[in-house]
Amino acid sequence: MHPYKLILLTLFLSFAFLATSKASANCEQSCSLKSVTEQVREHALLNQFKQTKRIAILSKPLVSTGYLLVSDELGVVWQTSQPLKGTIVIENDSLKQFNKHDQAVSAPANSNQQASQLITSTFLAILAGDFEQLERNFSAELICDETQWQIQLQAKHDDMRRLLTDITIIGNSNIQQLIFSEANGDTTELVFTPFEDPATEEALGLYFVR
Amino acid sequence: MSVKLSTKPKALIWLIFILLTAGLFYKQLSSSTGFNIETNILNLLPDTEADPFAEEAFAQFSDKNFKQIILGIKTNKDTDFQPLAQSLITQLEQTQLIDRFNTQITESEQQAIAELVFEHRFHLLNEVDRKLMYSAGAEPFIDDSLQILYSPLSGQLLNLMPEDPLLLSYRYLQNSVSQNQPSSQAQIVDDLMVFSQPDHNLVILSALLKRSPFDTETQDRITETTNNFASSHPDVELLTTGAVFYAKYAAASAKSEISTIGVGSLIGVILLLIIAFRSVAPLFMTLTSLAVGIFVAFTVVHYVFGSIHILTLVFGASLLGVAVDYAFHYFSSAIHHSKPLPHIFMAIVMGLISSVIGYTALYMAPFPGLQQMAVFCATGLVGAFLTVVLLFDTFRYKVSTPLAFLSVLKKHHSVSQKLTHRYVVVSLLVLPILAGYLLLTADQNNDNIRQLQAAPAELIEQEAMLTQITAAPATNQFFLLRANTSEQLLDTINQFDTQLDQLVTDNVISSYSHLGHFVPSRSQQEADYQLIGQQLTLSNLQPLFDVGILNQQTFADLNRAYRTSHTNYLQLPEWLQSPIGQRLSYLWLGNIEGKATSIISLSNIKNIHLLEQLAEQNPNLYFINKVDKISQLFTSYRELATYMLLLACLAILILLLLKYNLLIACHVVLAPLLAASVAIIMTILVTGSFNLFSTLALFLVFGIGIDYGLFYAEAKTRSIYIHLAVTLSATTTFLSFGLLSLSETPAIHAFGLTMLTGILTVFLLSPILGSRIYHIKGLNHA
Repeated sequence: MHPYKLILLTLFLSFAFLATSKASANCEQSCSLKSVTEQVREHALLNQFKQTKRIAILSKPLVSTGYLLVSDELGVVWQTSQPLKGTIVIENDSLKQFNKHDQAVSAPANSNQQASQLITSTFLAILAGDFEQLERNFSAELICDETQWQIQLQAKHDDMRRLLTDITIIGNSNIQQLIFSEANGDTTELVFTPFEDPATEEALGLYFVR
Repeated sequence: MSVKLSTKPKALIWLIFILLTAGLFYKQLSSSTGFNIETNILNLLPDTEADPFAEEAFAQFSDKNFKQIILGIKTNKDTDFQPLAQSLITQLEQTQLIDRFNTQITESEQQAIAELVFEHRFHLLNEVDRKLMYSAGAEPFIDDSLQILYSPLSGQLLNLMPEDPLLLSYRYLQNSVSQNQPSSQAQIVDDLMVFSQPDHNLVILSALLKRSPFDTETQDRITETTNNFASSHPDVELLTTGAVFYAKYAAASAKSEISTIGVGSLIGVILLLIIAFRSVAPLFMTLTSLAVGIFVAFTVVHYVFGSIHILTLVFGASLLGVAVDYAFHYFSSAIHHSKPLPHIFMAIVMGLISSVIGYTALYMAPFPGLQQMAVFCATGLVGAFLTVVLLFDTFRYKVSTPLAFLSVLKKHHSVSQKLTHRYVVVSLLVLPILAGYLLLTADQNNDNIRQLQAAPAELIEQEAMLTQITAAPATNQFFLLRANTSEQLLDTINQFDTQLDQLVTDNVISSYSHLGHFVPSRSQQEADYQLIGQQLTLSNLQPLFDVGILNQQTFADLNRAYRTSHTNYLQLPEWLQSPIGQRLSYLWLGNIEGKATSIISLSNIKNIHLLEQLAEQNPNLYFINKVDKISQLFTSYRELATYMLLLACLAILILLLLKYNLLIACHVVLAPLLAASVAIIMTILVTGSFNLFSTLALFLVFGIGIDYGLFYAEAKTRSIYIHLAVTLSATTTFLSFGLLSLSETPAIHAFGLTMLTGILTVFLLSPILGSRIYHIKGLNHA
């Protein structure tokens, strides 16, 4: 065995844990994680997003906007368009990233494999609407009213708590808002708006076949 | 020594001889190392490289490589492999024989690697980034940093940016990942390396043993652990490879063969003696001579070589068949002489001398394995001979041979006599010509190191599968590069990359690895340091000021860090200390003969010829190919041994001429010559080739054949008892070597087969040629 390869592989993120559990299809409209999962699955397609990162070491927040395309079969395309174009494509077991010239760049990673894995799997589970998967790492509390639901996720164990303390997800037929809070006080807020534009949808869809 | 000494002083001399041997035996036993039974087949071989430097380099490399084991746990898709792998890891760790698992890396080790790269971030650029920086400056790097910054997945990289705004350390690490991934199928799942296949998962564990794979305890405990694991998880397939598994198998089969061959021929000898002499005294005396022979041989070989190889013991077990000749001749003679020794003394002295001549020729081959065997056989024979000469006369024997037994012999003898015609003998001379022709035309490609080791197909298959899937570096073929200093070495090592990359593209090898991939040369690091410095300007980094990652303070800190680290090059010793360096330390051989030496390892080699070509084009580059070198060596020793045998044959003939006339001498030599010819012909017909080990068997065929001829040449009268001695000797030899041909080790099998046919021929020929000798000597019919 070539040890170096092994070492670096361990450093390398594994995104293989995105297997989404299929929710039951004939579930009633009610206030349960199952039904919310179902709703999000049915409706999510193209969204515009606005991301606001508030980071302790930065005096002003980092604001960016872009598009999110979720396809049940193919995966997720996350494209930041402002202030700098960049695209992340998540398929079942792979993650690709493209720069502003649409050239492939290596996937983000850092030296803490386990941490990165937790963050990505959490993030992707949310985007894919797989709230049941989230229950592995978070205790979930669901509040519903006539127009909206809100899921409060609290980290269950220390490994997670060191990275993300809690997550708030607000939505109706779609996810509308997402807030991550990190242990060091950093927060990331994402606001989604459904967006109907076949041209954008097609352009984003092309990333799946790159 | 004199035959005329009376029996008591002779027995006393024998006793002193035994005591001296015992003293030597005890001295070694009580030494700090005790007895050393060697099982590493490489230690049987001579140095294959003309250049001692290359030999030393190979020894160092194989020493590290031999300690490596790779295990593959093959499970169904739906099986949870995590607890399985963990239990195997735990069990292996409990043996306390594992130095470390290369496939597992602790979090603190990961941290150490990241810190090392971060520490030298102003000196390290991968090739792609270097080109990019030369052509496009800082902009693409800043863009990537910004993109990561705005990405929802930026994680902890953000905190790195003030100190490493171009994320150079991260990029360097990242690039190495994509360059060194064994295959896209490999994933890391919960710290385990998993290859996901369509119908199964394969978890790979790689570990380094603490001790040599030839250490008996390591062999036993490691294989016991893997066997237990395999038997307690029948639904899981465990694949294993590593020198330790081969060594264990070979040692186990050699040990069982020593006992079957040893016990088998012992039983044969016992039965024959009881039947032939109708007395147990000859049995005890013969066994005593054998025991003394083996005891002396073992002691002397261990004393001379410092250890004894297990294969020497296997061959030594067959010494039984030869050493009993003297005892048999003594007791056959004892049937009608009350003092048999004077009647046979000359015959067995001549026999001993001619055998020793043969073994001396064998000893001259610069081949430690052959030398050990030559010393073992020669000293063993001397021990047995001295026992016969000094001890046997101490007792009186009442021996007789059953008439039925004698009548069978007489019949055989009279049938043989009918063939004792000059023309028959002359026509037999066609055999050596045919044998010579076959030798020259037979397949020459059977001199392979695998001949020396019994290796089951299963192990070979698993090795092929595991090395292929993990792209493990080849252990017997690699490039060697040397330079005056390690600095010079790192300067030159990258110059072969273009050619090596081409070989990868052409699918000659699947990958290669060398130090240059990890520790750039000083001049490269200096150039990269300057290049990076040019990018860290206020205007280049402005976008990071805009988002607030950098400010006046952090920018000043960054510049100070850059300036103060100017001479902080990544150096070889530092890298070797790191967790990566420790795992890859086999790439660095250190100073050999005053030269810095390193290795370029190669994986999945498909075409050796092209690799040899590359080395020929570059004077500093050596291609080491141990397997082929050993095969070439075997071939040259086979040729050498053949010449030595012819030479020995000539020497024996000259010796015989001192005592007999030309015709008798020729007849004595003729039997083994013809027997060797038949053995060569039969072995080539059966196995398709005649290898080094068959050639070695010819030495024994010669030694034994000469003995038989001498028994006849020394006879004063025609006597059936000579034929009795020859028959007994041939039968026991036959028994022991017949069993050798059953050996699983190909070398021993070939040896046994040649012995079998050779001895059979000698046995059939000796009464024919014996009668010719009687005729020449003018002895009348009995």
